[in-house]
Amino acid sequence: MTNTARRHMLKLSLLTAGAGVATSQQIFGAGALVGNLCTSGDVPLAEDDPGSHDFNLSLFADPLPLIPTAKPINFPLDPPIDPARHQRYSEFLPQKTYIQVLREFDHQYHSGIPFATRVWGFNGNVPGETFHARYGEPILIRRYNQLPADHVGFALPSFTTHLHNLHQASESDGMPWDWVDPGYFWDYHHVNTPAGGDPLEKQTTQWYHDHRMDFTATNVYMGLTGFYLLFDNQDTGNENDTSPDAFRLPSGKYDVPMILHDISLGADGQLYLSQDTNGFLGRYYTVNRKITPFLEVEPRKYRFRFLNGGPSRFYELGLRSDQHFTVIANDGNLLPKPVSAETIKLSVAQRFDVIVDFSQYQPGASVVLENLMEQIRGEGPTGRKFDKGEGDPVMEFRVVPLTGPDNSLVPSKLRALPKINLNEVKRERVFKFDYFGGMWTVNGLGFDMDRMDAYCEQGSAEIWTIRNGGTRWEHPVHIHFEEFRILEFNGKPLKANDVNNSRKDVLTLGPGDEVKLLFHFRDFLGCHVMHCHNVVHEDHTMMIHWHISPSKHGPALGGIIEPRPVMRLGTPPAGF
Amino acid sequence: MKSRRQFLTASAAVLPALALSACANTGTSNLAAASAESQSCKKPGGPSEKYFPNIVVMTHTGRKAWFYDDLIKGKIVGINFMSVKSEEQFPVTQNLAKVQELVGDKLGRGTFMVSITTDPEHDTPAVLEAFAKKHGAKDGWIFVTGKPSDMQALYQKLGSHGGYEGEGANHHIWRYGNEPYARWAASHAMAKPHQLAERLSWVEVKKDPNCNKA
Repeated sequence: MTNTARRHMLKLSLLTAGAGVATSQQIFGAGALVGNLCTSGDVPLAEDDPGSHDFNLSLFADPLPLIPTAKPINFPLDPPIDPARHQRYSEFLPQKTYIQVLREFDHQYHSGIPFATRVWGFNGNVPGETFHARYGEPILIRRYNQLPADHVGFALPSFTTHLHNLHQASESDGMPWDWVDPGYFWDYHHVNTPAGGDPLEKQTTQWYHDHRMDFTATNVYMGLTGFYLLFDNQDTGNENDTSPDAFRLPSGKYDVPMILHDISLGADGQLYLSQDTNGFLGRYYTVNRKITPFLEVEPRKYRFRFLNGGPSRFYELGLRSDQHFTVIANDGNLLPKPVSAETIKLSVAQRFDVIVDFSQYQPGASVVLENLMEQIRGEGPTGRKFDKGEGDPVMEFRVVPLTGPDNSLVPSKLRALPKINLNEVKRERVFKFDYFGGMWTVNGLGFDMDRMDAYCEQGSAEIWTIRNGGTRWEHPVHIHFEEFRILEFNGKPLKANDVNNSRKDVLTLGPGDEVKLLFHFRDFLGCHVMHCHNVVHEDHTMMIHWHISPSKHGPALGGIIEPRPVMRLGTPPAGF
Repeated sequence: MKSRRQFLTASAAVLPALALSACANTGTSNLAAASAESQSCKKPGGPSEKYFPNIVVMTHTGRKAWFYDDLIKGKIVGINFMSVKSEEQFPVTQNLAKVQELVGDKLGRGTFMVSITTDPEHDTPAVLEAFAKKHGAKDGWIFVTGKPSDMQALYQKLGSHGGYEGEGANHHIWRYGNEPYARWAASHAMAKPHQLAERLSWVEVKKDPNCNKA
């Protein structure tokens, strides 16, 4: 497979030439690719799939959709929440309540497509509304399933919404088996308090997405994703904040969450998804569910929150200019200090918050965001990378005149890392991600919701060794509940300035990689999962089930059974 | 929504479990009308017809069948790969025999199980018939063999994991779905029997319980 052939993946006409030479640090860090995974070249590209239609679309035709912000309701829930089904509810009484109704509706992925595409979303939005939450302000989200019970297509009209990777109790985490069928609802209680009460564990850019067992890839692909942003006394969401604690990062319309998905459409304009259990690569890049859009930017600083929403594509994002990213957060966690990077590598579900300063540009200039990662199979990238200017165009920034002063700042210090105390470690475990008998496995087994793979003692810490047993695939491994720290990558500690020397919730494992992680189990009891976030692998049993228990022997000896969700019958109130 | 409904073909008539109206947002289900429409068509395809090879196979009862038209179309179905010789090493048929018991009366009445041999030269219809009998296969559980090239085509399309042929390759994948509604997924053929049986019910169309209130 030559790069030339590969270039046909996106049959879009390119308008902007690249410039600049790669010299500075690139964010590979712990996720570094190993070896050349490319095979003999007989692998069909997305364009060869008979289900994927080429609409011959032009690049940068539509503006980037700006996602609306979720608004709380001002009336009581009927029926009221059942507090007995939520851990520590009385300690964290919701100060705001939201309603989201999941429905099917029409969406225009690109103005050049002569069809509307049926999608699933939240309150008529795809992506769903962005939540602006604050630490110290617990919230409740009631989600109703009004998806069509008789839907015809690859997705299953049954949802469970995981808030990735907020620190929350199991019953509000969106476990794969806690699904809600059409005609029912469930209440998600988000305490918005840092793990262990430690301010250094505060998070910032999180997201929510469907997690229905066996149907996560299909339901996410259909549209069930959105952002959940957290603010606090430092990351206040106000660049004009006069508080001495405030970071004054770019805010308001200069703080832009962007979720990346790649999609294919059939000739009828409807979403197409193959049945390949390796993973799925789409024909078109989308940002906030619009195909290769443009964003008008002023010559000033912006905060971009990049999220790879999957299902299976990996990205290495760069700008076709001499511009670098100033990375301020990894997987939704502010770094100790900003890191300058020419490119950022995002495996599925990873996030990077970056600052891009357009002040060097004159109005009328444009800059293309491109993906330099070569990937021709769903199971992972080839290991090859395109030169700057040769990547796939993802979106374009168009510089327009400044409308006001840029009062935002990029502090030299952000959020320190919590100290690592290995004396808390009670146990070490090894998990090997591999393949057997046509299915994806962890420690040789497919996922079994009736089998508990690990009982972890509440309040303790453990070291988990995560190993990729494969020779040609990558796995972005995601662990729910708390952020982990990388202790060793392939036997070596990370360098101090490695951007993965941070709090993380997605670990990218290349072929043969082995990583040691430190993980805590604080504040709540109950079930959680670890899985590959190539959601096609996840749906094909690459997941384990673990439990935070009062003792290392599990809940039976501890005598405490935590509440479990039970979907409740009901339809949304008027106006929703 | 008419365009979606048109996929629902005459085959739906044999699926009493699916003939439910859904009230959510889509209006009344049009199964009956779709069924009538399709009577004028000789071979109406379902929404999954492009995915499943429609090749001639032999069943363990010695009958010829079109793989898609006769074994998949209009059905809720679980599909796996097996061979008589590999059963000892990969006892998937033994596991699926337990699934069959849990599927109960639905088996053969809307819900089917299809087991495709990866060793057609040995697994003739007669051999498969004896094997099916040994495992107590009831009506609605069909073992499939045929020309080696055809079996290979089915394997490549439905079982092959990107061509990977490692240990135990593809003897554990169990695809399941609801053809008229184009819902397809896959799990592990050695999963606990009740989990596989439940999965077949996941893809059924469930009536919105609020319908009765309206």
